[in-house]
Amino acid sequence: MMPAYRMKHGLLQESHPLTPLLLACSLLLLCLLSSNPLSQLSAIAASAILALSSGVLREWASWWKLCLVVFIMALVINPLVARAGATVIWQGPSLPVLGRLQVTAEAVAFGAVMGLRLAAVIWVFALVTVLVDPDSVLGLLKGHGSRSALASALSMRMVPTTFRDASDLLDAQRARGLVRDSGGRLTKLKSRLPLVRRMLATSLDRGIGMAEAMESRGYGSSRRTRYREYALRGRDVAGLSAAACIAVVVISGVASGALTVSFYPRLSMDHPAGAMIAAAVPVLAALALLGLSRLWKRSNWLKSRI
Amino acid sequence: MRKSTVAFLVLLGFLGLWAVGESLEIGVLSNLAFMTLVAVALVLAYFYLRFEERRSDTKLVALIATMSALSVGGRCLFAAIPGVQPSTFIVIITGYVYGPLAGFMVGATTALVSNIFLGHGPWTIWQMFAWGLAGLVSGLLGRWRLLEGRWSLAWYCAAWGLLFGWILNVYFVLGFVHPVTTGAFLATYAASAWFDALHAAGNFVFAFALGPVMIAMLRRYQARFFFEHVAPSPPGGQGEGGFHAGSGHDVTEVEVPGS
Repeated sequence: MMPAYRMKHGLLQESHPLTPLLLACSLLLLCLLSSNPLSQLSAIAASAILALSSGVLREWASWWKLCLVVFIMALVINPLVARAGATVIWQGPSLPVLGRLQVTAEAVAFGAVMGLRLAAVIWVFALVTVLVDPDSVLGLLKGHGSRSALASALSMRMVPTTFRDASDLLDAQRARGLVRDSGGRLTKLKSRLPLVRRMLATSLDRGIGMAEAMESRGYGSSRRTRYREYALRGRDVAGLSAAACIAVVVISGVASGALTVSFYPRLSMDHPAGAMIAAAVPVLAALALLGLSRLWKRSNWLKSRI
Repeated sequence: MRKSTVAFLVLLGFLGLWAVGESLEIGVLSNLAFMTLVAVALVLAYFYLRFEERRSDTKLVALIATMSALSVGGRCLFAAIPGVQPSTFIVIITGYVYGPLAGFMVGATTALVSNIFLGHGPWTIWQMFAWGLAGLVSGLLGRWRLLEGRWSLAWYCAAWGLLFGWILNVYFVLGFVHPVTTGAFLATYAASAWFDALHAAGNFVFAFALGPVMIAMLRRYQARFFFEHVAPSPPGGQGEGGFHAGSGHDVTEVEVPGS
């Protein structure tokens, strides 16, 4: 399992949940709209800095194995299926469906950049996972998607209860001698099958009981009221400004062609200086937030102000 | 106009825009990674809005939460064995008994909630889509009770094990492989064949061992708790007061004793 959200009281974790979400969205735009390797590296670096600013760098970095696997997959598959590219570096046998194998330097470069893009996207999602409390995201949806948000929140709450039920039922069945702990795997499994039926019945009973409790408290009888738990503060303005800055640079970089890279027939970057500037902005924005976060942690005055 | 209708029209407009962008190779509009993500998000938004627009039914919300929790628990429990998970099977039987929308919601919620424990990624939205689709299609099949036999259900669940993997591969091929050719799809499917086969085998075993029993239990709960009171018809009318049992597609009229 991947590391889940843990509150470390960093600047972004203490912000309105929309702030880290919109920051992640701006980084996702950077990853998905641009195929420039500098953009992908910039998104990864910015994610790492933002994770560092909230003290969750170790948790964020623990996704590296998954990123490596997808990177290798994209790196291997692309050169195998691409026939374009002027610089042939290897010619292999002819295979059914794939045809004659031919690996070009351009296809390898494209595969590497796509692998980098996939890794960057995964790391941006990792940033959201370690920075944003899932409860607060569901809380944001309360006013807009009450029934689906309620179903998700209830489901999240019921998972630990389901495990506890399973453990209790297993103990009860074991005490009655109905569960076999000896013998082959199949015997053990067979003796546990009735448990699944009991689990389903117990869970459904609990669900129905919960629904009746909600109805008796007036759920669904009229338009619901809601309490706004979160308010936008100065720290959110800083985070949202950084997100807006990144989004504007990405969109203008893509529109002007500064972030464009051509892979076929030969590798070429039309505006390397423009690409470097566009790639530097997300990193600088993240560094600015890191600096603010450090100051914010040390200064009680700043904490009270923003 | 309903919000879901607006979402549907936006989806159609977006697909049209995408087709134009793709044919004319207009920058962002021909960026498959971005465009497929937005298209799938719009499809999910449409079904979520459909669910929101339904008449408030607390029991259905609780049922979706319960079945999703079971599905998430099962997925976490089997997380160590790649591909094997009872989630697809649970989504399918829920859709089959309680209808397409309930099936879709259990599928989408399973992906959303289980990834809070297992890790979110670009795959989350595609898993929501694939499991949602499994629940939706099973709900449609449930209207004609096409999966009543143990074997037919088991083979159907196994097929969804493969289909689920194939849908998830689409985002990889469209977003991160170029050119998008049959060879690209086959190479990706070959790379994931082992996981897809395990998923299909797991689904087959779960459905074969537990399918008919669990479907019968879900139907029993449906008959017990999912009914609506039908108001007595005016004097002179032909109908009598009673209950409609069931939710969504499977509505059976139950006579009130003594009415």
